[in-house]
Amino acid sequence: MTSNESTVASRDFRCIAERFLDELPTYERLATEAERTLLAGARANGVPCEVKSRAKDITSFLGKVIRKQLSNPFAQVRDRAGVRAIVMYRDFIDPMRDVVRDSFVVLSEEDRTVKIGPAELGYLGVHFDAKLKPVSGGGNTDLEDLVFEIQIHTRGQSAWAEVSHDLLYKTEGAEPPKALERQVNRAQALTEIFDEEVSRARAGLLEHEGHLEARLMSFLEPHYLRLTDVPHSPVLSGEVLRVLRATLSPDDVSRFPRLIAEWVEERKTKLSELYGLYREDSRRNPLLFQPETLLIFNRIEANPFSLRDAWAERLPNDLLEDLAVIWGTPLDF
Amino acid sequence: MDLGTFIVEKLIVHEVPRRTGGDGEKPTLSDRCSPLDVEIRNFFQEKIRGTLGGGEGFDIVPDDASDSPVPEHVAKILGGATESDFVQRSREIAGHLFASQTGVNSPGLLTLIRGKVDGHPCVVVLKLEKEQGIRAHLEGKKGQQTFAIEHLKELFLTGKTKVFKAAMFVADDGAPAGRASDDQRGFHPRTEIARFFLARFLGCRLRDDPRVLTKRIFDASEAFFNEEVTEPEVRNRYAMALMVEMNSAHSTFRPNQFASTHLRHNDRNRYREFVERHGLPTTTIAKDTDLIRTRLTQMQVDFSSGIKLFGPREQMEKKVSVKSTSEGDEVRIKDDIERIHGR
Repeated sequence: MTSNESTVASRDFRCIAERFLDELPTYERLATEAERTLLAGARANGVPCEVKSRAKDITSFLGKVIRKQLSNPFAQVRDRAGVRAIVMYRDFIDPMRDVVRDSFVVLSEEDRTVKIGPAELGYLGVHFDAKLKPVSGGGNTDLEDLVFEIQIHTRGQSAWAEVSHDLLYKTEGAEPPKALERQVNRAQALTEIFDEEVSRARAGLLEHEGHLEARLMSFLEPHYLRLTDVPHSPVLSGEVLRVLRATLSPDDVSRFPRLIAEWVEERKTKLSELYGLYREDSRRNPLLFQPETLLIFNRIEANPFSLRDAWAERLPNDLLEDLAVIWGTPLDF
Repeated sequence: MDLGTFIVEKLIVHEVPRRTGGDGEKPTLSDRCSPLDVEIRNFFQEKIRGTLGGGEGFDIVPDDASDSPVPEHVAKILGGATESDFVQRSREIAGHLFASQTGVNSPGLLTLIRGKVDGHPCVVVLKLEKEQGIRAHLEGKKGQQTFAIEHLKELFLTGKTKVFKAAMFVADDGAPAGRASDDQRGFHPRTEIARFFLARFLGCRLRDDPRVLTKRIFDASEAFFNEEVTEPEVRNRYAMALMVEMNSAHSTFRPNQFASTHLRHNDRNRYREFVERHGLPTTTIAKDTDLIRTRLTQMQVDFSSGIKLFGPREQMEKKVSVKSTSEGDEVRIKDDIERIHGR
């Protein structure tokens, strides 16, 4: 038995376990608060993502203490609380990094995709060690000194994280065979190819003339996310945007990003209050909490005639009439 | 006033019966505000936005010549009344409604709302009349299903009600001003029934003189046809349509409705924007053609050469046609020449 092994073996794991369990509720709160903060920051910046959090459980913690022979586990284990933001496309990684830097006190930042070796098991994505920012007026002051981990992953990287986590434990402590190295290498490459091709497909779709609806949605969605956290249905969006595109002139289309940004900015108070009023209303118009409704309201103001004509060809009139009433400009002509 | 920002904060309801002259008849008054949940609030907000924002909504101000107590009560509420004061004033307004009605006025619910619009305090006065409806619910007895039918007689303000008697007041330099709607023949009425809600009960009048507004919209419309429409035959058609609308029995002129009915697709929105730029409402204008009466009977076409063609509107419509040619606009008159003489 080596001195390290004897040190680990002789540690009173009961004390470590007891302290861990005592502190677990605090780290659960930390994980929840970090998740809430990260999600709010993403929405405020119009970055669509899914956010999950967890507090490390006792088995995982003690397992790490033993595997890595940690002498000071409570200082050395910095992911007792962890938050993962999963973005759909690689293009959203950098905006999400900005969100993390703005929302938290960042202690370290590492792009694991660059750092990890070609045949090495482990997580990809961007990883941070961070703390909560102090909040004026009190609140969770007991959490402000605690370190937690933030991961930003694409969908592909998130799927790889799940698999490599399992493989890591199965191979740790032994030299992996060459065949496994090649397989891991190919799996990592596939993850990168998946992310890259998905991003390219998205970029191609947005640039393609025949997919104006996708382009319009890419500009509408960030504004919607900033205004409300109510989820929307992409299926409905496609149908409505096909109608709305007919109400836009070529000039409107070419300057659409600026047109909608300026319009939303001027009306953001009204829009925020509207979303607040209807959030818990079970009888609300099914289109109200959809990004394309920002464009509907814009068209009601800009050209109600062409909107009504285009709408009547494909969609029920009462849906539009209700929205016009909600906006305060009934279409009763 | 952006009605899309209107929110309900407090609401109180009183029942005002029909006046039949019987002993003991009087309003049934509430002692406190009604409880509201999210859905009820949103329902009222939508209904009020719909009726005041649509084609039956008019801008109003208090009429100094009226002895109705409503403007004063409204002014006090806008000035920051307590809840108990709000309740008390609403009861007095209900009493005034009952006292000012006659047997021809329908019974209903007098509803007073304290709220906000554009972030500022507002007061809304509604007179809601009863409606009837049928409800059906499935029930099964002895293994057989059927729909039990129930006749509902106590309905007020259903989903299908688009226009009703409503008035919204905001503070405007200390005095209340606002907007009102009425489901009974507009606000430039000639009958007592139609005058009741605005004049007798609310003690208000239209903010803008209908004669002046009508002249302004007529002038603006003609300006649009001549400045923004290049084809002479289309201009002619539009001018005729405007005159027909102005001569009609409708008590209102609705620019958006006019555009939708008479103008080509690509002229409609440009007309609406033109009317807006001239500071005129696009939803509805109380019509009074007093100041443009002679212009509605005669039409004139001016040519760049100095030639002028004029005549009675109906005859111009029947006998004169206009079209564009490569050599200029061509006007054809199909009529018998009666006399040619110096002028």
